[in-house]
Amino acid sequence: MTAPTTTDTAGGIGGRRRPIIEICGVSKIYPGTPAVTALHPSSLRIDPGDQLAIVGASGSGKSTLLAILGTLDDPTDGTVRVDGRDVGAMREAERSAIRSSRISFVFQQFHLLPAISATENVATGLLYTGTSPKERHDRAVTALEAVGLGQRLRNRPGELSGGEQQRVAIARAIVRDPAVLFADEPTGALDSATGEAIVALLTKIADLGTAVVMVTHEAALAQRFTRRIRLKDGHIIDRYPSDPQHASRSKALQPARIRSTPTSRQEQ
Amino acid sequence: MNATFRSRFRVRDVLRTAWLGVASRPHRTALASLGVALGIASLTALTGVAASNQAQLLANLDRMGANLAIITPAIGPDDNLVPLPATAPEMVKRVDFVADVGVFETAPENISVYRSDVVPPTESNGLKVTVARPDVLRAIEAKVAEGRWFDDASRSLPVTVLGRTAAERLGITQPGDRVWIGGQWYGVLGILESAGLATDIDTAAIIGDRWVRDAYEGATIGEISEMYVRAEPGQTARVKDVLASAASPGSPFVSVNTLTALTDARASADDSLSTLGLTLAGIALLVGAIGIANTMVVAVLERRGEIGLRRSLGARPSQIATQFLTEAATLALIGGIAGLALGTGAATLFALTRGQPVVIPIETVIASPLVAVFVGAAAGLYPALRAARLSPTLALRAV
Repeated sequence: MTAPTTTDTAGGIGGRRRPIIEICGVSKIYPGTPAVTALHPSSLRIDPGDQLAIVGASGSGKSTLLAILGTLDDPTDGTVRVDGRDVGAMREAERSAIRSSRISFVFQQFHLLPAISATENVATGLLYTGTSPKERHDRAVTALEAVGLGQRLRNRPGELSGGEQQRVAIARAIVRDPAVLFADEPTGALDSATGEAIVALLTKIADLGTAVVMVTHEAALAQRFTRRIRLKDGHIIDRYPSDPQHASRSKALQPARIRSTPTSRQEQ
Repeated sequence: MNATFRSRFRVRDVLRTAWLGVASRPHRTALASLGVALGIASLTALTGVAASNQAQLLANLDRMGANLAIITPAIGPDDNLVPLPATAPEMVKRVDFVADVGVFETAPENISVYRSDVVPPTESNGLKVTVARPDVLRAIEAKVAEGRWFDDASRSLPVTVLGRTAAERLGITQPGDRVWIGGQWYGVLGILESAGLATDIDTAAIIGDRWVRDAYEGATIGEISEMYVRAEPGQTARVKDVLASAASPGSPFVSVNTLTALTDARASADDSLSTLGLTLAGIALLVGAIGIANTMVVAVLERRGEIGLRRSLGARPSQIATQFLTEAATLALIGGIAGLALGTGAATLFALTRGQPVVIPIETVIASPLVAVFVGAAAGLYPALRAARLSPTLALRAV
């Protein structure tokens, strides 16, 4: 797994990219007394190969935004398009199919199944895609090797460190070869050194062409991403780079980035 | 792109995923399936015990004569008995569900049995002489206590087999003694045990049919006086209706009698025991189903994280429902198989300790796992739907 020297390989055809996910005027209001507006009308697009960090304090609406972007939750208003198709008009089966083929998630709590091995956990990532068991297994092994856990194939989650468990979860996310990987506070349950390594792994995945969207409350980690938005009280209050159309990941815009290989075992 | 917009879930994966849920929580699985296990065990044990009791009771009733029909000649228009045709036994044997036919023939007139030739003829002790063909022994289900019953040779000889009471009153304890019948000595061939249904046999000295035909003369010698017809268990009522026409086709002068009260008792015993057993087993199963439903409701609550994860991986609500439904059915199937083993063991033990026939109805063996799976699926329906309806984001948040 070598990082490409140029980063426009995931770019669209003819210089103009079609966004993978695009939200327009999307808001989320939780009914009740009083009703809570978790997200005020917001627009955002995610292009192939994007590295987007969503930053904000807890309760700022960043997880709500992530759930809507990931088609896990419905907005109260506004439209969500995946590959140009309106998700709001889709039946649940279609959305599930989009999730199984285009979108992956990594969670703060890893959400690994405790009773099965790392390989089987990663293979679960392909369970709902119609892939044969043999292929699921083979691809799971490849994905685990890619995140540096080639020696831990048969271990159960309980036998792995926190950082290793999150790597298994990341392997489960990338085994599907998704267009977008959403990471919701992926370092929240890890110490800072391990967290750094996980973020390095995520940016590396982005370098290989998968768009990575990470929610975090740690500004320092967000600095590793080429695009950042800041949320406060349900509003997007800050965008970097400031022009949202300027999403190309020019190296010049990037701050100093820790170059790290996923095989380095910093978490130990 | 359209091809990838479908998420699929293979049957094998459904079963494996459900098995994972069951196998990774062995203690819970054991506890959850215990209810169904007990239910199926009760079902199996109760039906087994009921079947065993029933088999025993029916055997007793049949020994008492519940499956017996007696065909006798009736009195005709000239006030005489209309004899049954000689072909009657053969015809009756051909009737469906007839197991055994025993034929008695008319005894010579004025013939009695005495201990010796010096006993006054008036002291007949209430004993009588009966003429039987060898097939009578099976038809009346009598057992030989001492000596032997008639065979093809001895039915032509001056020998007798004594009923229990007859032997006592004559003071005969061993075969080989002699008794005085109709003015000549007969060797005692055997002594019968007490015959349950045909009490007449107990007080009779039975002599062979061929000997009587050879040694005596008379208009009625060789005629059939009675036919004991033993039906297959439970078939007495069906057999009874056709016996008269089989024995003497076209003649109204045939009388067929059954021990109606016993036949009725047999039919009702058949029903009531089965109903009681099934009701009890049904209650036990219901309790088992509630146990599984409860376990699955808790499991859905506890595994919200897993449900959210699977939804995020692209599982449809129906696939989540299928998974939990299959898990519930698997729990119940495990319980069902364990219960079948347990119940079969209990029923066998019960029957063996009471010396009754071991009867495990094959229907129970086949139906138990099916019933268990059905019960499990029914119990899992509500929890499975709850799991399917869970919002993915809420599910993921709860850990």
